[in-house]
Amino acid sequence: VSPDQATQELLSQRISLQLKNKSLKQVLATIEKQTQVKFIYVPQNIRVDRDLSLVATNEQLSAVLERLFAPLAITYEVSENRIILTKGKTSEILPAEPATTVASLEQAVSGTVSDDKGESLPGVSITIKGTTQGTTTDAQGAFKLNVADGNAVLVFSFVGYAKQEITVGTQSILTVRLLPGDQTLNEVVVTALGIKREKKALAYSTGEIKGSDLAQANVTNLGTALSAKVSGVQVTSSAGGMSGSSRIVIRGNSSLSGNSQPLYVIDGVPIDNSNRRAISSYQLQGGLDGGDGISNINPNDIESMTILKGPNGTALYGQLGANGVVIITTKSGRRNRRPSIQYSGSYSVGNALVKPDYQNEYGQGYNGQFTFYRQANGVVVPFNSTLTGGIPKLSAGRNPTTRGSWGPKMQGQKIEDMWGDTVSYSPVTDPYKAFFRPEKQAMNTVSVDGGGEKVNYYFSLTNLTNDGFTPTNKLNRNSVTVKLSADIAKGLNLDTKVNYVNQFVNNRPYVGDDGLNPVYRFLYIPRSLNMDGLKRYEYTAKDIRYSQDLGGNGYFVGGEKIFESNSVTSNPFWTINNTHNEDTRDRIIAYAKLNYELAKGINLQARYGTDLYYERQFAWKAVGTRISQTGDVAENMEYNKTENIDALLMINREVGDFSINANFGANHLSNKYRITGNAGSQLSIPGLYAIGRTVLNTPRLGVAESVINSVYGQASVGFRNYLFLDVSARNDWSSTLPITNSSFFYPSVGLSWAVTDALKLNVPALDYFKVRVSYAQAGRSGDPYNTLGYYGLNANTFLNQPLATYTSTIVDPNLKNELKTSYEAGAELRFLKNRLNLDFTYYHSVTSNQIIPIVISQSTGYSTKVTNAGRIENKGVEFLIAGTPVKLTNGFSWDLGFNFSANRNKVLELIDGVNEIVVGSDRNIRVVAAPGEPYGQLKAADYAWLKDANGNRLIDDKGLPIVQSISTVAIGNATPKWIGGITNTFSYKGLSLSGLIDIRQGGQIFSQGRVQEAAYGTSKRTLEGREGGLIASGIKARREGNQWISTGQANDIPTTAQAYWNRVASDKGFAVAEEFLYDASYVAIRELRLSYQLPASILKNNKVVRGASLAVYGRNLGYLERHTDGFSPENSSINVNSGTMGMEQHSLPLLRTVGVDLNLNF
Amino acid sequence: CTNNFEELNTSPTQPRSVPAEYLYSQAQLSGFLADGTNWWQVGSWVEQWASGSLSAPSQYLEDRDIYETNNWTSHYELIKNLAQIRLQILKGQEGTPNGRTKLAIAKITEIYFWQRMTDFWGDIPYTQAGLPDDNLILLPKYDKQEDIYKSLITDLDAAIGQLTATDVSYANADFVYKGDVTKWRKLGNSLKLRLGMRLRYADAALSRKTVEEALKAPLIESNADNGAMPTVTQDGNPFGYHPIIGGYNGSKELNQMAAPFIDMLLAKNDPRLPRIAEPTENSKKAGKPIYRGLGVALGSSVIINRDDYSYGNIAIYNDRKATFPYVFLAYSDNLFFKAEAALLGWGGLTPAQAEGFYQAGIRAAMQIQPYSIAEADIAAYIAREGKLTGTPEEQLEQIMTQKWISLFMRHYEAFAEWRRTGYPKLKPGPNPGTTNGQIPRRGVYSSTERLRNATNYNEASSRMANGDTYLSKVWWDKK
Repeated sequence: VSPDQATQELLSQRISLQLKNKSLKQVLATIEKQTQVKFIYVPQNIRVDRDLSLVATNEQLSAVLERLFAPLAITYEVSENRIILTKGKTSEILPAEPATTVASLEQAVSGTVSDDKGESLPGVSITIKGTTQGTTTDAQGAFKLNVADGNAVLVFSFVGYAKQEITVGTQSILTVRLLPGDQTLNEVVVTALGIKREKKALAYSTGEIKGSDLAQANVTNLGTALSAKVSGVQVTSSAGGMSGSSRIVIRGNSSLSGNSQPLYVIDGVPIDNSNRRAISSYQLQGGLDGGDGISNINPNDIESMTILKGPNGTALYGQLGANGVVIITTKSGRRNRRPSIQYSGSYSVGNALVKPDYQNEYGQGYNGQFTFYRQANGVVVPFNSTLTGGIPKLSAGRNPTTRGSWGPKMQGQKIEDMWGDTVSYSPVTDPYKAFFRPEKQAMNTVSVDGGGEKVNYYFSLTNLTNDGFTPTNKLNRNSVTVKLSADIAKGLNLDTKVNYVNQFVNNRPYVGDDGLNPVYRFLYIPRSLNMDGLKRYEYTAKDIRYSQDLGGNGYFVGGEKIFESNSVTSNPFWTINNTHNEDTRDRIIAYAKLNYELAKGINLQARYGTDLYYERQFAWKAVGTRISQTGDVAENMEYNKTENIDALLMINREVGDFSINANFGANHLSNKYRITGNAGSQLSIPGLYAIGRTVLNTPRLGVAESVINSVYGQASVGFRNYLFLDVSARNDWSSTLPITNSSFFYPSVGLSWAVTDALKLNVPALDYFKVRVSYAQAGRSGDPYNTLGYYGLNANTFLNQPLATYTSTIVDPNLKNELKTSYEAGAELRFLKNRLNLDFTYYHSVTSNQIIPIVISQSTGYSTKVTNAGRIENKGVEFLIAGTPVKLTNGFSWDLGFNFSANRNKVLELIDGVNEIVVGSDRNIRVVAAPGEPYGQLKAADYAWLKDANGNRLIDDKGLPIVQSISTVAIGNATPKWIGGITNTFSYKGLSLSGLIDIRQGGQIFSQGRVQEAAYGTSKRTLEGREGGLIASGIKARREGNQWISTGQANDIPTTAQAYWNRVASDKGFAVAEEFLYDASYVAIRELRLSYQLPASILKNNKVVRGASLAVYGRNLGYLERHTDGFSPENSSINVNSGTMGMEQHSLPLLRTVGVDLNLNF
Repeated sequence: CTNNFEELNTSPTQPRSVPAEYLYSQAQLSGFLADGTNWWQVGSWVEQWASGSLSAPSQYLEDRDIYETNNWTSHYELIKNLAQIRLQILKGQEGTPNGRTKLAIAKITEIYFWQRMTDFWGDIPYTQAGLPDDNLILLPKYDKQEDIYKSLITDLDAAIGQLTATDVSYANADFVYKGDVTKWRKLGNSLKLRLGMRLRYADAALSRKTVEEALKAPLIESNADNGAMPTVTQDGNPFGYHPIIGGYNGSKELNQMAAPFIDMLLAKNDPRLPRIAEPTENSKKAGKPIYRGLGVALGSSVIINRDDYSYGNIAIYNDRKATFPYVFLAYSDNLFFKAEAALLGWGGLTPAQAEGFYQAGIRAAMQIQPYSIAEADIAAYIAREGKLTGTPEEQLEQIMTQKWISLFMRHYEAFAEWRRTGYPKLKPGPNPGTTNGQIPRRGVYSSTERLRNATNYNEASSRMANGDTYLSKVWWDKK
């Protein structure tokens, strides 16, 4: 249940009163008796001794309160079941006492009230300004009342919406639309364990996103919709396209083990967000991105999202929340409301935003020449320019000499290609155009919600189909949600939800260094390659006969046709037609919750929640596939069940000036994972893709189970509603630690002080000023099976003998829990009647005793040791400024928001004997964590330029920079200096234009894709010096023995582009990393949306459609700043692991998406 | 709150202990066959293969990441898995019939691998490697090769002494000898002969003592005694192929034969040639098959037509029917060692006996699969090539040249013997690489050692004349 829904439920209770000349105190007491509300006020501010009269007959509480308080200039906020009364700021213009005499009411006015989406609003309070007269809207949002004359002003108010005043004038029928109001002062946020808290009482900062904002992003993976929306949250989308995962890091990387992903909790149930098919981050060897858990969630079901950024907010989630928690509240129906049907649909088309910077001048060959020559007698010989009487022939071999684009200028010469076809030596048409296709996504949602006196319900059905950028890649997701809440006995409420997701993905693209990754292939195919030849992806006898230099093995008629004798890089046209992968996931996320009110203000809640899924993965390669010549087939069944059982005792008490909100609970969380399957190769019958029917079979079995039991308590004590003290304590027992260390405890404490309220400050323009400070710890216990050493049995035998090896990971029988200790302090300010809001946070956290697999010298016989090692520090600031610079009376308004966060990270220590932890590596580059350095240092490995003391490259006698063999040298850092987002919304009547700018400044990214381009001369960067020579920048050096000595003279020896780039990157494994390091800063236009809400007046006579809106939107539209060549800096993540940060590896392009969406209410 | 936690946190899919046989079988399979991999590095340095620009080490370029790191890691894992037998599985059974001989065989196997490692890299972590996992030294120091060799010889004597025919052995889990303790004794002594002779130019006294002791003991005395791993076909088997097939499954460009080797076989009209190499693709197409080797370390800028050069004859290993055992320690090795010892007059042998051993060595080498050369052809070959002539040094060159041919596909041993004696005389290829155009004298250490074990790595590197490069020589490389 979302905060405003709960509030609405509270305020929609009906009461009957007949009080004459009673004190306000008595009136309030009477209302308290009839309802579950509790009024809270400071006696100095609210004169409760004054007498008044109030009559109501089965009216909604909201209407009664409005009538009661408006004339008294009392404003109120609702928090939980408390109604907090404060002295309104508009009191001056209103009479101090209610008008007792009422003029005769002669003019009849009727009308309807709807919300911004055109949906009718029942229970809206309407008062005649200056009187206690009024009414409320009925279930259809209609009202009827009499006013004295046309000068009467009607005040429409409803919780969660901006108050609206309308002068009746001559109108007799009013159509009123209430717009969502500024709720900031009484904002209620969902915090840990689903406990709703007043934002005012929170001692830590949170980030909130409305469900509509997420839905409007229209993205396949919900995670990516978070980018730039909340300060301190960094989002990297997957290199594997829409079906891939998203990497979300909150307040910097705090884990050395490579995964800093937050916990996702949906309606109080932690869900599984693992990406078990992620590619190893230590060596990016490729594979496919199997998607993460959050990618299954339907954005249209989300009511709101709260991001708890640090342990201070997540203390009650304990270890799971150590990297932050994303709390998702899904939509519910509302009580006393007719069924409301909503439809929303969107359709979008995506195309590559950034493509490689191909050069279009020089084609396949070497030394500016063709590689071979077919003489007139048919014999093929190495090319030299004196040959006559034949035709140049391109090579099919693998050498850089033959597969590079270092050949002559492409001028349409007649040549024989590698497959024997005579073609024109011309630039390839854009290989991206020839192969990829626009991504098309359609999403349709129908939902019904409503409720009666004692029940409310919500139902939704969503279908999403996405035909991916890579041909044959397709995702189809159906999501059904049923949510029901019912009062089943006095004080007893049952709340339950079932969300069923069925997702099918066809042909996920392979990513990274995988030979099946089409981008890998297209980055370096010779610029003159005959694409039609590649499209005919099966070898013919002629192709093989004419292929020169292939090397003879595995090239047969019907087999995969490539142009090089490389054993791994595939022909993408073959890959999409003759290899296959698919996965189907059936997932249920469900909970049932019983809440019993033991006594007034004391509730006992029991909840069972589960996240259960089965996933079938199926893949095959046809006989003849280059990397699997005899074919293969694999099928796996994955099963994952997360169960969460908790009981919570919730106490809300008021004692004098104090309010107490206390929660005590116990929790049992278990996770069971199992994978069974088989990988078979050597197909017995080509085309039969069934496991166990192959000659070679490797069965697969994996199991992981763990349990965490916990008890916890949390209490918040408020004093006069301006000072709040928060304390919590939690003890966990985790099965993944040795039994003697399995129990661990961690506390938190925080203080929140609303200065303006406490000191009754009367600073002009300052409405609100709050300071907060908190301290918290959170423990964490790691993965199962890390306390004992195991033997690995080979799934196959050799000559019928079983084979075994001992683990290569040393475990630690004395493993302890990790502990993250943090404090934060912040302030919140509001100015100019909330036209300007500021929020500032400083935080500092240290994670110690991290459980990490540290890499150790392999001379020990082992490669990793899992132990408690290392402390890592994160500190930073988050800053949020939001406001409404322009708000005109004609309805035009401009809202502006800017969020900023800067995180500084430092590795404080590792265990003895370990110099650094390699979080990720890829041949010539490493992402490491080393003591005294920030996390995510990018270090070149093995090769670096030899430089003089001033950092100039030394140049040898051939005019080429000198490469030295190095161990490792720092060249950059992958983490940004700061990130931020700017939101702008312009609205005028039903029209709204909004935009989101995503900013990242600082940090670097290394691109393996650019290494490929440089090694083979396919990018524009390699054009300089193709003819006429290239003078490499640097200082000439001469050799003395084994030393190079600088001559001090600038280099003037020309070399060729080919020689230069072959020195920079003779191959992937031999690149000087610093040449491929880019500034990862960017300013991106992430979202742009123009929407139009049909005016209610158009629809007022339409009995079916009550509201309609239409929007056009764009995502990833372009950059205002970017420093990378041919790739998007924010699209590099191979998977969710931090180990892949700072490294781009042949990623699929980020897509620029343009779409339309339509919303209808019935 | 912690009920069942210990059971829950114990993996249900992996054992905490396994029979020694399982570990031992795996060690034989991955350890012995590894002798024959790595032709794109060591195999090209001894100029039997020419792997072209695809393989950086074959161009004299260091490539620590891919080649050395994997090589280093797999070797130390091999040691670890064998060591688990003595550290955990058979601990306490050193004196019992159930443990004694199994431990001795595992130890002899371990010594065999240690020799390969120190021969290749020189000083390596030895005394501080192969330790129990609860008492590990995370930063193992590098022992001097001199000390390692002395320790290996002592340990080998001890292990051979423990071999007891009546004890329980590995039976079929021992792919090489099926648990035949007598044959293990012969292999152990042959290994001792090899260890001893390797020290000939570094520590002549120890070398002679060791060689003479070994010559007195039972040695591998026929091809039936050879240390040979059975192999399987690719059909229906995920591993255990003849090492040559591993390269065939990769890029065939890695499998081009080197000119010096082909030229040598052609010059001697060696009947093994058709079993070793294929005629060039283009000569086959033209109907006039010829054999031609490719130059070594040509660098990447030379454009050649690969179809004009011979590939290795892998088809005979890969016809999906026949399998050939992979011989890692051969009778011919002993015969060539004996010929050398005879030239030296060691162990009561006389220079006059050298030629007999030499000829027997050639015969034994030609008889093994897949050559199985007919006796008449062998006899004809020996008639042409079997005379030892000239000075003892010239005779040694003849012996070592035949040994070089016999060690085809046993690249580590061929590399060690070439370095030890300098024969056959090999000319480096034209590419300067990182060696100024010289043939490497050792493998460089793993790149991870520079990062993870820096102090010890640096200390070991500083002990070498040219640091941790291809050019530094190991201790016994003194000639």
